[in-house]
This record gives sequence, C-alpha cells and structure tokens, in this order.
Amino acid sequence: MNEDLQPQHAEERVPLRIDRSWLESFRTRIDHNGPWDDWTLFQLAYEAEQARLVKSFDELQCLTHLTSVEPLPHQLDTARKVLHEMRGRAILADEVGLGKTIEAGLILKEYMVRNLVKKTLILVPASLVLQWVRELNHKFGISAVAQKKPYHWQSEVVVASMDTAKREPHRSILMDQEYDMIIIDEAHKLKNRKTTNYQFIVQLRKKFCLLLTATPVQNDMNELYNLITLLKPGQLGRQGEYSANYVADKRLPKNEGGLQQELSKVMIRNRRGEGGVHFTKRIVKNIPLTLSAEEQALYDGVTTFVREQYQSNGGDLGSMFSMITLQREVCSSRDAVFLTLVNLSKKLAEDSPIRSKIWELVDLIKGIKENTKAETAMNLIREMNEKVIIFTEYRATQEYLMQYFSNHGLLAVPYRGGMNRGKKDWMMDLFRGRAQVMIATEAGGEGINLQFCHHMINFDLPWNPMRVEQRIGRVHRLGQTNDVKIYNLSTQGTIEEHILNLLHEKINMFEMVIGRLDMILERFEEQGSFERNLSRILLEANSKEDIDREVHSLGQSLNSIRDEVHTDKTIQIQDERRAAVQSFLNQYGTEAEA
Amino acid sequence: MNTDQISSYVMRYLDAMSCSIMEKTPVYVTVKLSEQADRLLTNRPYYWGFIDRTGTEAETMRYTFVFDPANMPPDPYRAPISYVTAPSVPANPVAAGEAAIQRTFGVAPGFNGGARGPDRIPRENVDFGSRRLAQIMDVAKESGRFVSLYESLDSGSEIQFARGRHSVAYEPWIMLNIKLEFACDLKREEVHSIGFSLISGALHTNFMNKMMQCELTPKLPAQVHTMAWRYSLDQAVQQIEHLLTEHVRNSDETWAVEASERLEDEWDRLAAYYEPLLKEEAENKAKATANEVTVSVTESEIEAKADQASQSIILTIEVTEEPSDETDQETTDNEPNQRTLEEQYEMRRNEIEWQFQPRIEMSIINAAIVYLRSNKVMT
Repeated sequence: MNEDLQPQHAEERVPLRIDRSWLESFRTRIDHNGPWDDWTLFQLAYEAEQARLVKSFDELQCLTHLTSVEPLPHQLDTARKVLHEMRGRAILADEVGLGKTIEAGLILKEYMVRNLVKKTLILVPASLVLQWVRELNHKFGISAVAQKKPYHWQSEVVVASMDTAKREPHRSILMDQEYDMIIIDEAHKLKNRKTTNYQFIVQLRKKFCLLLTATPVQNDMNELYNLITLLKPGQLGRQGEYSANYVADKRLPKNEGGLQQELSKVMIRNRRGEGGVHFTKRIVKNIPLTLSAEEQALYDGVTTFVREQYQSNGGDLGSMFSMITLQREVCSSRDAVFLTLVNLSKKLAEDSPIRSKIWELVDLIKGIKENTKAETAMNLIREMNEKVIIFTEYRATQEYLMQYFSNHGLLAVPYRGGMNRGKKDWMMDLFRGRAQVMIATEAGGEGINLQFCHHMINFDLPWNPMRVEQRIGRVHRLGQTNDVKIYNLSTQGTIEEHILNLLHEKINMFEMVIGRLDMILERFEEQGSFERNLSRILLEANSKEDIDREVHSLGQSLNSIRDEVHTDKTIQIQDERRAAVQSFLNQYGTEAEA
Repeated sequence: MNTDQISSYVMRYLDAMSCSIMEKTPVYVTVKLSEQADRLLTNRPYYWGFIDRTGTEAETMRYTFVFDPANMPPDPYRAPISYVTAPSVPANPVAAGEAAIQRTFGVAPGFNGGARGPDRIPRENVDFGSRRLAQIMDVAKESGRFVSLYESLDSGSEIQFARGRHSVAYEPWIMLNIKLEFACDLKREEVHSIGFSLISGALHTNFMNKMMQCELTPKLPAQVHTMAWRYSLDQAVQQIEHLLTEHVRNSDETWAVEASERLEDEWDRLAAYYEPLLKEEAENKAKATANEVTVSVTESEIEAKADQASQSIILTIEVTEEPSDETDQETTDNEPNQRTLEEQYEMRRNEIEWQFQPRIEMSIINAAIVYLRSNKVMT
C-alpha cells in the first residue's frame, strides 16, 4: 500500500486498525468451495449492521432502542450533556425523585449501543441492588445481574453493594478488572478521602464514571472537593488551591461564580419545580364528618383522660409519649385506641386507680356500633370508582379497614413497612391488577411508585407535615399523568380538624410546590418540632377556645416563615449566580440522607 | 426499523432457518422453531445436551413474537412481569390479579419462559431494542458470514442465447462488506460494500445493494463457466483496503483533532495535580527517612541518620499533625494491596488515553465471492 503518499499528520494522529482475522477462514472456504452460508442470512447480517449503525457522533441512539421507558426532557438533557460535554465522567446530583437512575440508565445504554461500553460495575447500597437490576433489565433491556457468587463478577453488567465489593476476596478480583463504566449510587458515601470506600474506588480502573447523589455536600466544602477529585483528579486543583480559591469557611464558599463554573463541567443538578420538570396538579378536598354520639363520647373521654394524666405528671411532655399516641389514635379508629389502652393497663400495677379509668374508656369503645369514618371512606371510594390508596398511621386501623371493606364486598390490599420485598411487590401487583383499594401504613421508603393511581385518602393525618408530603409523593410523582386528588377525612370538633385547618388553609401545604415544604419546616423547627408544639397545645389547653387560639398562632408563625422563604426566592432571582451556589449549598447541607 | 421492517426481517430469518409458521398476522407471528433455530435462540444447552446424548426426539419451542404490542389482544395467562417498574396497567387487570394470586398459592410457572402448562406458547415483544431482535440479528451475523453465489440465468432471451451457442462466461468478484468505526470517547460508524473484479481489477462501491437486486443462486447454472482469476484473493483484499484507507484519510478529521486536544488537556490537568504531589511525597519521604519516623525506613538508614536524632522531635510533631484535619475510624492505613501515588497517576493517565485516544477500526461484516455474467454492466 502506498502509505508514504498519505499525509503524515493524519497517520500520526489516528491509528487505523484493520482486522484481517476473517481472511484465512474465507480463503479456506474458497479453496474447498465451501461450506458456504445462506444468502438470506448473509443479507440479514448486512441489514442488521445497517439498522444498528451509529451514524453520527452526536445523536442519542439509545432512544430508538427503548420502548418501555419514556425519558423526561430534563433526563434527556442530562444524558446529552454527560455524553457530549462531560465526556462520560459526571456527578448526577438531581434532587430526590427526579430520576437519577433513569439518567444513568440512558447514559449507560447509549454507550452500550455505541459499543463503547461493555464491562460495567454498578455499586449501590445493598437495599437497592435488586431494584437497580430490575430497572436496568425492564426499562433499558440491559442484562444486569446482581452479584451473589464470585463468578458473577465476570458478567458484563454487575450490580453489587459497595460493602461487598470493597471486601476481600471481591476487592482483589475487581482491582484486576478494567471497567468501561462504573456507576455509584448514593455517592455521598464517598465524601471522605480517608475511608476504605473512597480508596477502593480510587484503585479501580475505569473509563467512564457516574456518581449519583442528591446530597454532594452535607457538612463540609471538602466533601465536594473529594467527590470531584475522585471523578477527575485536578479538576478543582489540588486541595490547597481549592481551599484558597473557593473556600471561605468550612461551610461557606467564596468566588461562587468561579466555583459554579467549575462545577458545571462535572456536575448536573436538576431541581424540582424548575423548567422542564412538569408535575400535574394536586386537588385537595376535605370531607367533613360528624361523629356519632358514642364516638364523640369516646373522643372526649380520651381527651380528658390524657389531659388529666399530663397534669398529674407535672407537665412533663417527654414522658407522655403513649398519652399523645392515644390522643392521635382516637382520631383514627376505636381499634387503634383499644389496643393502646389494653397495653397501657397491662403495664400498670393491679391496684392503680388509672386502671379503672382505662376500663371506663374501654366500655365506651364497646358502646360504639358504627364507624363514621370508615363508612364515609367507603362511600367516597364507591363514588369515585377508580383506584385509590388510603393512608393511615395505625396498623390496627388498617386491619379494621381491611375487614370492614371486605365485609362490604370491596377488594382491598394492605401495605406495611414490615413486609418483605417480595410481599410488597405482590401487594403492589394485586393493587395494579385486581384490587381497587390499597391501605398503606407506610409512606416512606423506595419502591412504592403508584403513578397508575391518582386518588388518595388521608384516613387520619400524621402530625408531622413531612409525612403528609411523603404520602402525597407516592402518587404525585414523575410519570403521574393525571391531576392527583387528595381527600382528607376531617372529623369535626377534634384536634384533627385543627391540624387540617392549619396545613390546608393556613399554609396551603397540599398544593405547595414540591420541595418547598421542607424549607419552611426546617426554619420553623429551629424552635422545636411541629409535632411537639401540637402536643403541647393540646395537653395544656383548658378549653376549645384555647386550642383555637394556640393553633391559630402556630399557623401565623408558619405563614410568616413561608413568606420569608418566598421573599428569599425573590432576592435569589435578582442574583442568579449567587443564588445557584448559595441554594446549592443550603440544599446540599440540609437534605436528609436518602 | 419500523414495525413492518422488523416483521419482515424476523419472517425472513425464520424462513431461512426452516421454522414452521403456525399463525401469522401483521401484529404477531406464532412459530414452531426448527431444531437449528432452537439451538441458537432458546439458550437450552442442557436440554440439547440431553437430546444429543440420548438420541431422543427433540421437541422444539414455540413462540409468539409480537411486532405490534399495542394492537395485540391480551394474554389471558400472563401477569405483568414487574409490578414496580412496568410502565402501564396491564390490559386485562383481572387476569393479572389472578396470576398474582396464583403465584402466592404456589402455582409455579412452567419451565418454558413463564408458560402455564405444555400447551401455552410464550409470548414476546419483538421491537427494536428488544433482546430477542438483538439476538436474532446477532445470530444472523454469525451464520451469514461467507457465501459463494452465481447469477441466475433463467430469463427468456438469455437462456436462448446461452443454449443456442456455447456456454456463458462468468466473471468472479470478491465482495467485502466492511464496517468502519471512528471512535474516541464517542463513536461514528460507516458501512461500505465494495466489489472487486478478479478479472478486470475494477472496484465498485455500494456493491451489496446491486447484488440484492440480482437473482443469485448458490449453484452454478447450466451452460455457464467461470473465468480464471487474474488477481489473487490477497490482491483483492489489498485493493479494497486501500480504497477504504484513502477514504478514511480524506474524511473529516476534526473529531480526531478535538479528541487529541481533549486528551492533552486531560493529561495536563492530571500532571498539574499529581506531579506536585509526587514531589511532595518524595520530599516527605526523604525527610521522614532522615528522621526515623516512618515504618518503612530500613535499619541501616536509621543507623546512618542516628546522629540527627536531635532534630527528629520537632519534625515528628509536624508529621503526626498532618492527618488531623479529618478523623474517621474507617481509615485505610493498613489496607492491603494499595497502589502507590505513582501507580495511581500512571493508572489515571492510561484511563484518559483509553477514554479519548482517537482510533479507526476497519472490520469485516461478511464476505462473498460472486460470479456474474462478464458483460454485466455495473452502474
């Protein structure tokens, strides 16, 4: 070949490798006139190559390969940015619930379609291993396996827990591999350079690398530095340079503009409520209901009992846990109260005077024939005639409702935190397929994605507004295509009515932009938790008017905080860059570890 | 590929593998695989091992491949595979629920891919990106590598021409279907099909498309003879490679220049980070050695430096103060097989090269020898 005619610089720059391994086998067949393959298969082979051809450097190829996931615009933008600007090494720092897994899956799939990535290691917390495997397989058609046996490390895409991977004998196996791609979920566990986790990742050979975390900064500016240095050593200079250039104090950055610019080269953070991320509306309906005389008697009885105990206890809130529980339970169902009362009496001495009081209350329970709330809920469900999830705080209430609905021919499935993964999946499956109703006691935790359902009933209200938000978040999340209808069952003349007033009318939390509530609560709770405040009001009040007044003032202070947060926002917009870093640090510093 | 193209692709494959089609609609096909197809597609090595050893008659798998899932009637027995991640409510909720209930009560699915009972035929979506289609494509690539073909000679006038006179001369061509991959941290590909005449030495591009329009047969037709080669196979391959090398060298190389620049930039960044650290480490080591504070110091060195012991007290304090900025019980001090800083630097440099180094690869998709009428005009 006339290689000397080719331009020298091109030759130097791009090595051209020609594969001739096929030639001998072709020659042998010509010599022996066979065996020859089928002409149709020959054409199919050629067409397959044409169909899967990567025609350009830029276009996202993976989209044509994905049929069971429809990525959202911000997820596609993120994938493009990581591929074309960050060149496959990035920190994905979206806020919780915006689909970091989807983004990582898109990027991985794209590299796989382009045949640039084969060997992949995915390190996640042990509890998320199966979820990752499932998502990669079902949503992305990537044959990922969960690491269980040593030979699994030889598979192309392996999902394992960090704790397993960093221990011998696994560690040595992994150190000898070359990974085209490493993905680490919950990467804030790598914030400290001196930990085995961090050093372990440093030692691995990798081409592309994605670090996923909602909280890249928790306590300290150095955490950010460590994370980025792990990804791209020198991106922020050496430790000393970084401290000199960007750190004013442990928790305070300086030269935010510059830092922001540097960060934008390696990190992407999508925020909720920002452009491109669309959530459907929340529509709240309060269903007022009036207790029957017997139920009201029980409520009053319990309230009086609780208050007496509190006073005789010298106003010590700390020791009143079971009393407050009682007060909360009485808003939910008689079954819940009953259980707690029985347990309470078991703990008391035989001759305690409180025992007789408890048995008086139990008698009141026995007098109750109907359950106004359960009836109301059932009518509501019958009326809407669609999938609905009911949340309650108490297992006893859950069981009562299961029984009640089943007696009335309504198919319901339970969902509890204590169930194992398989059972949870099964319940979810039943709810999707057959049951109209799911009754859940647990709102938090991963895996409850109920986008197919857009009605929810708060059978009782948690006293912690974040828990209310978590409940709503199960249904009102990315992928929900309908407006979400939230029904609150509010019993008139009880503390529940007050709480609902407070949350709904005063701070309008049900319809608030997602992500705003935690900011408000955090400020508010600098002076003590919301729950505690409520308990105190309830226990110390002497009359209904007292409660009204106190709750009102609680509402006032929440309201003023909300205005503050809102105003902050306005100021932030004026100085966008500053805001970006500032809120970035606020957010990173405060969000709970997922 | 759209639904029709996929459907036609799969049907041609099944036909080429002599599978028997049980039912075919635009939406799906139900097929009983041939033995050959079963061995390639169903991943049942133990089953086939058993059949081969015992000589039992094989029962091949049946499948329903769905090309257009949206228009597919629901499968009465099948529950959704996933409850958490599947995107939509199954078309038949009652069936799904029943299936879920059966699962808990221990009705185990059959071995043949979630089937219930021997009569049930597993159903799979075959859309672009599905694993089944990818597998069929891969298998086709494996089993369609080399062919030898002759142009048919059966259209009226030519046959008369041939029969009336002497036999027709056929000219041998080598056809290579070649994939070019332009890769750095991203990748672009081209497919070329080049034909080379072993008689005239002529080169033609886009050869495969021309061949797909010809009537070709694997058997030498009657009244036909093939001409003797004037070029060797190696010469043919060399000419084709040369043509493509020229093409590569004349194509836009901006991407490669940019990738090389990125590579250099990244290396500079690494150097700026690691080189001072390495220097520091070397200095510290020297100091430490001098003052007997590291464990790695050898006895002879200690002795040699013993006279400097008076300074060691001050320096020891400096050294021990260093790690106090962060405390973590899970430190790595006595972790085995740590790589040194220098090894890490080397490793990072190699990673960057691996990631960005522009490279072009030329590989064969498949190759053919084709005999065509010698006066055939290639356009």
